[in-house]
Amino acid sequence: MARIASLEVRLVERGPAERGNPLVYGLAGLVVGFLASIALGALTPAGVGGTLGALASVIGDPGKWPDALPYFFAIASSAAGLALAYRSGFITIGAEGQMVAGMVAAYWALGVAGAPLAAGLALAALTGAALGALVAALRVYLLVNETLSSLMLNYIVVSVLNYLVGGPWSAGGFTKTALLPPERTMTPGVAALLVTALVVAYEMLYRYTRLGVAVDSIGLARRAAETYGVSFARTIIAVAVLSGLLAGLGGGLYLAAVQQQLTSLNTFQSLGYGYMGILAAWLAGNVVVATLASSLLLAVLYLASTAFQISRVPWSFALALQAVIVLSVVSFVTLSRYRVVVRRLAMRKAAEG
Amino acid sequence: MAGEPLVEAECVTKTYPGGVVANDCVSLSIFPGEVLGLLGENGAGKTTFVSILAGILQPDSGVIRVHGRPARFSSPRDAVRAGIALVPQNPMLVEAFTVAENLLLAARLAGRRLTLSGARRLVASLSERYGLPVDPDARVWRLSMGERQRAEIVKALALGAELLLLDEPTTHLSPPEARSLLRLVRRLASEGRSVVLITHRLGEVLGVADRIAVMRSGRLVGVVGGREATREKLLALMFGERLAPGGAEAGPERRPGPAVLEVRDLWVRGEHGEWSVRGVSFELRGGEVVGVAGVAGNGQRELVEALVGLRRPQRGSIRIAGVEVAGSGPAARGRLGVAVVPEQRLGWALVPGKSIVFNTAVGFYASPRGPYRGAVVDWGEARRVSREIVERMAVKTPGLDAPVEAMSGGNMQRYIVGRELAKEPRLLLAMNPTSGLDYNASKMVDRMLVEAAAGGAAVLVVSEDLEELLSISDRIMVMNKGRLVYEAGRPFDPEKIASAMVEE
Amino acid sequence: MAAVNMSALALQALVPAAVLGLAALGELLVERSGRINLGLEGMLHISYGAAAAAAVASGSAILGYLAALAAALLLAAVYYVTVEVLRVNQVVVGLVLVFLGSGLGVILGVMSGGAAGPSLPVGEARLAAALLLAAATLATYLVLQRSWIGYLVKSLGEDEKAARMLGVNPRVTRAAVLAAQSALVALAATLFLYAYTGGRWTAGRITGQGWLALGMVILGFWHPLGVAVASYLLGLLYSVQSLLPSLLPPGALYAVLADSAPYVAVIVAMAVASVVYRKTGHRPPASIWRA
Repeated sequence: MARIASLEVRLVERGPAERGNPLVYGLAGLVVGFLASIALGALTPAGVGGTLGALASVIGDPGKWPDALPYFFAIASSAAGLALAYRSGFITIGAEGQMVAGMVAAYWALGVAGAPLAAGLALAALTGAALGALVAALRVYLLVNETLSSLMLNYIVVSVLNYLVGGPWSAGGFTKTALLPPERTMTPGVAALLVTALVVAYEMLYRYTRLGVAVDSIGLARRAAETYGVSFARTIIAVAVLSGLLAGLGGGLYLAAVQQQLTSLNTFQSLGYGYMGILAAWLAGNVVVATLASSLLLAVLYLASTAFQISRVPWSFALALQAVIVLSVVSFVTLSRYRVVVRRLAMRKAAEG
Repeated sequence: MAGEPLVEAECVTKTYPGGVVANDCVSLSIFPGEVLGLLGENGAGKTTFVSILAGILQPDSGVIRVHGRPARFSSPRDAVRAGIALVPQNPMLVEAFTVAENLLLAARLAGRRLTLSGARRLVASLSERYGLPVDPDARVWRLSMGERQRAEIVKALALGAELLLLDEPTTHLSPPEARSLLRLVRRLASEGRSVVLITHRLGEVLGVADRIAVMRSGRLVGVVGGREATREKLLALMFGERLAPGGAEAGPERRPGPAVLEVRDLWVRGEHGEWSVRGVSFELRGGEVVGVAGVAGNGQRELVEALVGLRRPQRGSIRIAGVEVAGSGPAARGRLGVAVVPEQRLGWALVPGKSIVFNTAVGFYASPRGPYRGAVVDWGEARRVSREIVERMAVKTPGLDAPVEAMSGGNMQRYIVGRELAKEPRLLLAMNPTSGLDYNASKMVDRMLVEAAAGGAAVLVVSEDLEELLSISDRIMVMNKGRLVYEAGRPFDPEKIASAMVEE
Repeated sequence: MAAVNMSALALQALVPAAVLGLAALGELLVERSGRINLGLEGMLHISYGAAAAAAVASGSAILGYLAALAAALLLAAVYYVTVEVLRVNQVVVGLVLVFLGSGLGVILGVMSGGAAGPSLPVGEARLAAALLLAAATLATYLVLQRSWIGYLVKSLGEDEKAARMLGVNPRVTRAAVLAAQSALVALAATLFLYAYTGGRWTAGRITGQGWLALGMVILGFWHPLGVAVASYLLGLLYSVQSLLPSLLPPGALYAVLADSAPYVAVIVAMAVASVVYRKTGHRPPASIWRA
C-alpha cells in the first residue's frame, strides 16, 4: 500500500476466477522490457541509438536469423530441462556445467577415440545426466542446497576442460584443440531440429505421464504429494537426470555443429548458454514447450548483441538486456494476479467523521 | 457495566476476493467490564469480525471507535496500542523464541520500552497474579496448546489490553482447563476489562456471558441478554429456520470384520526429537469406526503420520491387511488401500493452484484404482472420477478445471472426503475431518465416514471434538502424552473419557 | 621456513576473507529475515564497477564507496519492489539480478577506462580488512543476538505469520535489512577494488565472490561468528592458491586441482556440515533453507 498525494494505492489479490490473462500481461511486459533495455543502452558507449541500431540490424533482417540457430538450440537444450526442474522446486543452475561436460565427453568420443557421431552424442547426454544425478543426490540424501552445489560443479567442470585443452588435448597453443573431422560434425539446422523434437518429447512426458503429476505436486504442495505416495527423492532425481541429459546433449551438439573443437573458457563466464537457459525457462513461465519460443527470443537478442561488439558494447550487456526483459515479463505476469485499488483518502476521512 | 462503550463497530463490512461476504454491515458495541459472547457456527463471520477489531484485517467499509474516537488499525500493532488484543484460536507466537522474547518484541513494537529481563519479570508476576502458570524462559515449541494459550493471555495482559478477544479458546483445552479459563474470564471482567468470547459452543457462553451476540452468514442477527438467553433462543438465531442439531447419530448396524490395521508397540519421535508416541498398540477391524480422542499435542499427529507413512517409527510394527509397512512409505500404504483425510486442506490434502482433476490424479497416485495405465495418465478417466465425486458429495465448485482454492473450506473438504472414499479404501485415516466446517458439511462428512465403515472399511478418526467422536464411533481410544490410556466401546462414559484426557 | 609461510598465509588471507565475510554478513541478515537474495553476486559486480567508475573519475575513495552503495541499493530496490510488493518468486528475481548486476557492472567498470584509482598499500589493506571484518561481525552479532531488533528480524525468518501477529511490519523490516545488506556489499566491493585489485577495475575479476559468500552463510550456520570464521578459512584457501608457483604450465593436473579447490571445498564442506547438523539435531534458523 502506498500513499501518493491524497490517494491510497493498494494491490489487492484477485480471486482465482478473476485473474488477468498471464499471456497478455506477459506480452505487455515484453514490450516494456524491450523499451527499458533499449533505454539502458544510453549507458553504453554506443548509446541508445547504437543499441537500437544493433538490435534492428539483426531483428529486422530475416536473412540473419539463421545465425541465431546455434544459440537457439544451445539455450533451449538447457531451458527445457530447467523448466521441468524448477516446476518441482529443484532450483539447479547446473545446465551450464552439464553442457560443457557434454562437449568434453563428445570431443573425447569423436575427436580422441574416433567413435561415430551418434555414440559421441549419446556419451555427451549421459555425462550431463550423471552430473545432474550428482546434484540431485547431494540434495536428496545430504540436504545440500542444489543451487550452490550445481554452481560449484559448473566451475569444476570448466577447470577440467581448461586442463584438457591446455594439456593432453592441446593442439599446440594452450587454448584450443584440433578440429573434429568433417564426418563427425553436423549442421546447426539438424541440431536445432533434434533439440526441438526432444523438447516436445519432454513436454509430452510432462503432460501425459506420472512425471508431470509428480513434478507439479511436489513443487506446489510437497506434503500433499508425499501423503498420497509421490516420492520426493525419485521426482527430484528424475528431473535432474532429464535436465542433465538434454543439457549434456546440447553441449555435444554444440561441439559437433558449431564449434567443432574445444577452447579454453573463463571459469565464470563459461559458454553462457546454460545460464541463459535459466532466463529462458522463467521467461517461458516454466512451461516446457514454451521454452522453445523464449529460447528463440533470447537467441535473437543474443545475436543482436554480438553486433554490439562492433559498436563497442560489452558482451555482458547482452545479459543485462536479457535480464531486464525477463524481469519485466515476470513482473507483469505476476501483476495479472492483482487488482490495483486506488482510493481517495479525503473521502474516507469524511465517512469516518 | 453501563455507560460509554469501550469499543464500537459501526456497519463493518468485509468481502473476500471471490465474492464471499464475510461481514455484512455488522454493528456491535462492547462495554467495559462485560463478557460478551459471540456465537455462530463455523463460517458465520466471527473470526473475520474480531480480526478486523484486532487490526489483522482491514474492513472494506465501516467505522470502529475506541473510547468514542474513530480508529483505523492498519496492523495488529495499532490495535494493541489502542488496548485491543486477540488471543487466536491457534496460538500465534514465534515458536523458536521464549515466552519472554515474544513479549519483548510485541511490547517494543507497541512502543513500550522493555528489556528482556523486564519482560521475564512481567510474565512471572502476571502469571502468578492470575493463576496462569507460564515459564517466561520456556521456548514456545516446547509448550502444549494450553500453555501457549496461557502465554498469549499473559502477553495480552502485559501489553495492557482493555479488550481481550478470545477466539474459540477452549478448542485445545481439556474440560477442567476450559472451566478454569472461563473463571479467569469472569475475573478479568470484574477488574473492568472487557472480554469477547468467540465460540460455536453454546454451553460455554451460557452462564458466563453478560450478553450474547449471534452471527449468521456474515450478519449480526441478534443480541440477547445473559439472563434471557436459552439454548432454544440461541439455536434459533444461529440456524434460522433450519432444525436445531439433534442428538447422537444412530448409525446403521455394523458388524466388524477381520483386523485391517494392527499396531504393536509403536514408538515414534516427533519434530524435535522427543518421544511423541510411546508404545502404542491397538487393532482396527473392517467395518468399525474408532475414534481417537485427546487434547491436541499428545502424539495424535505423529501417530497418524506414522500410519500414513510420512514419519518412520523408531520401534514397533504396523501391519495393514497383514503386510508389515512400518519401514515403507506412503506409496506402499496407498497400494494396500489406505486413504487419508489430513488435518489441513490446502497443502496437505490438496495441491493449491491446480484443478480438481489434477488433484484427483494426485490423490489416486498410489491407489490401484488410479486413472493410470502404467506410467501414462488417463486424464479422461481422472475427469470422470472427479465428476462422480463432485456429484456424489454435492461439491459446489466453479468447475472441474478451476483451481481448488476457489472452493470454500467446506466444499474442499467434501471433495477430499469424497475422493478418499472413491478409492474404496480398506483403511481410512481421518484427522480432524470436520474442523472449520459449518453444520451441514460437518454432518455430511460424519455420515460419509460412518457409511464407509458400513461398506467394510476400517475407519480411524482423530478429533479434538469429543461430541463428534461420541456420536460416530464404535470404540473410543484416548491418547495422553503419547500413550493410549483408555479404550472402550459403546455405551460411552463421557466423564471417564474426559478425565482420561487430562490425567497426569 | 614453515613458520614464515604460515604467518604469510594468515596475513594474505585477510583481504579475501573480509570481502567474502562482509558480503556474507549482509546476506546473513537477509536470510535470518526469511528471504534469500541470490542476486548477491550481481550486487557485488555492480558495486565494483560503480566504485571504480566514481573513484577513478573523482580520485576520491569516499565517493567510490558512495557510488558502490548507490549501485547496491539500486539492485536491492529492484529486489524489494519485485519480491515484496509484486510478490514475484525470490529465486527468479535473484538469478535475474545476477545477470543484471553483472551486465551493468561491466558497463560501469568500463567507464573507469581501466585506469588505477585510489588504492590501499598492502599493509594498510590488510589492516583495514581485518578491522572491517571484525567490526562488521561484532555489529551483526550485537544486533542479532543482543538487541530487540534482532528479534524483529529473526521473527520474520522463523514464522512470518506469528511475527505479524506480534505487530511486525514485514515490509519495513525487510527494506531495512536490504539496506543494511547493500551497505555491507558496497563495503566488500570497494575493499576488493582498493585492496585486492590495486584500485583498477578488471572485467570479471570479482566473479564468483557473491556465490561463495552465499556458501559462507550456510557454512557459518547463519551465525555472525561462524560466517566470519568460514570466510577466513576460504581466504586461507585463496592465499594457498596464489602462493603456488606459477611456473607450472597450465596443463598440469596440479593446476586443475588448485583451480577448482575452492569450489570442491565448498561442496564437501556443505555436505559434511549437513550431515553434522542432522546428527546433532540442529535446524537451520532461516526457514527458507529447510528441506
